[in-house]
Amino acid sequence: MGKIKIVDRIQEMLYELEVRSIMWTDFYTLHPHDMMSKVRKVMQRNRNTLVPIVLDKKLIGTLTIDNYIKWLNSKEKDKPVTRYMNVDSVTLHPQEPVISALRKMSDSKSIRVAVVEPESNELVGVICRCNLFEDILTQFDIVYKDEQVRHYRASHIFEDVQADAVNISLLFHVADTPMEFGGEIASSIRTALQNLGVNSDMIRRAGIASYEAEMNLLAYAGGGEFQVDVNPKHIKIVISDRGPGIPDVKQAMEPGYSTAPDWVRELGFGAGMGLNNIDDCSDIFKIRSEVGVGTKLVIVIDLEEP
Amino acid sequence: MTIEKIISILDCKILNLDVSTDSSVDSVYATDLMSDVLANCKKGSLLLTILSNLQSVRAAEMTEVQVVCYVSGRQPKPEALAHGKKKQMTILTTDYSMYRACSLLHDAGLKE
Repeated sequence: MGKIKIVDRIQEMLYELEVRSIMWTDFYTLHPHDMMSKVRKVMQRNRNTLVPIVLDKKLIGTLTIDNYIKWLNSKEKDKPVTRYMNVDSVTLHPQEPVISALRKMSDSKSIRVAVVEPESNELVGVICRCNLFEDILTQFDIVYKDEQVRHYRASHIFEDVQADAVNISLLFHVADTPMEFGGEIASSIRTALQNLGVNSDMIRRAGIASYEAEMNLLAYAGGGEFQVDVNPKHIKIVISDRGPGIPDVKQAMEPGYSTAPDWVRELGFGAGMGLNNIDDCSDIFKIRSEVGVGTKLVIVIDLEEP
Repeated sequence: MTIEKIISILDCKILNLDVSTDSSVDSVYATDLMSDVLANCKKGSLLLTILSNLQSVRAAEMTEVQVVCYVSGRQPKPEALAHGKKKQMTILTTDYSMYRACSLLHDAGLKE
């Protein structure tokens, strides 16, 4: 699975990577009135044999080494660059994925291509196929390092912050959405815990407990609040609602006891297992409910061995 | 058992072609009750179910199940398929009934 994940990520990055993140933006250009004798100097300065011809920031043509040799061979006197430039060369857009740029370059057999803004034709960069892989790898390295740093920062927050105690508090509001689309908060809690570097078994327990509780909020209470506190010792999840309340909590905790209507059962819930599942996932589970006022659940999952 | 093998045993259609079918599952769990998935389905299992709504994929996500197969030709709802893709799950469908699918996988040696 590990290898597949890496390949997936590289594929994803290749599709996400845009031309603008790897194009060269620092280079000299020529004006249509410039003469062919100037071309060699510009190619040398740019260390690139593609010379864009630009008027009012707009690309009007390109000169390559072939055009320059053609002029040299002709032994003609100095001529304006417009006499020798290409006007219908392939161009790229900065927002284009690198993958599509590679395809275009290979189809047109171009080695160096200018990058222009789609509407205005304004020149913004140049791409060279011979440096492309190096540029892509550099960009991958930057993205990878950024991800590593972000992950490191989140997962080491408890060690990096100097304080007598560090506690991260997350608050989620569960809106009164149809139960069919529920589970978003549990999913967000899982992602947050993953980013904080919490052990995967504990994430699984917190996810299952949160998910059951979230579905209960949607089925019976019309929404509510999740307060999640994470510290090196434990994950504490407090779920509160202002729903109708549970008349007999002891009975509600009996496995298989359910008051769920058919529409809840049709969604794959309401078999009288929810509260028991939450209890099984928790090291401490408390429930307090008052009819007409609401219900409050407290779930604690220990992160440190006692 | 590799996903590739499961696809051939159950004659599955694979609904998200961008995931690899080389990875494997250690066990299988078959149910239409999501609380049952949450209570009893092991991490890394194959989940067989007829329930095709978003919750079938949510329950798989919570229990860390990466492969979901819908039985009796059931197609997952669009939001279920979209969420499964987002979580890089393998989403399959088979025309076999739950009973038949279980018996074929059991005969091939896949345990609960």
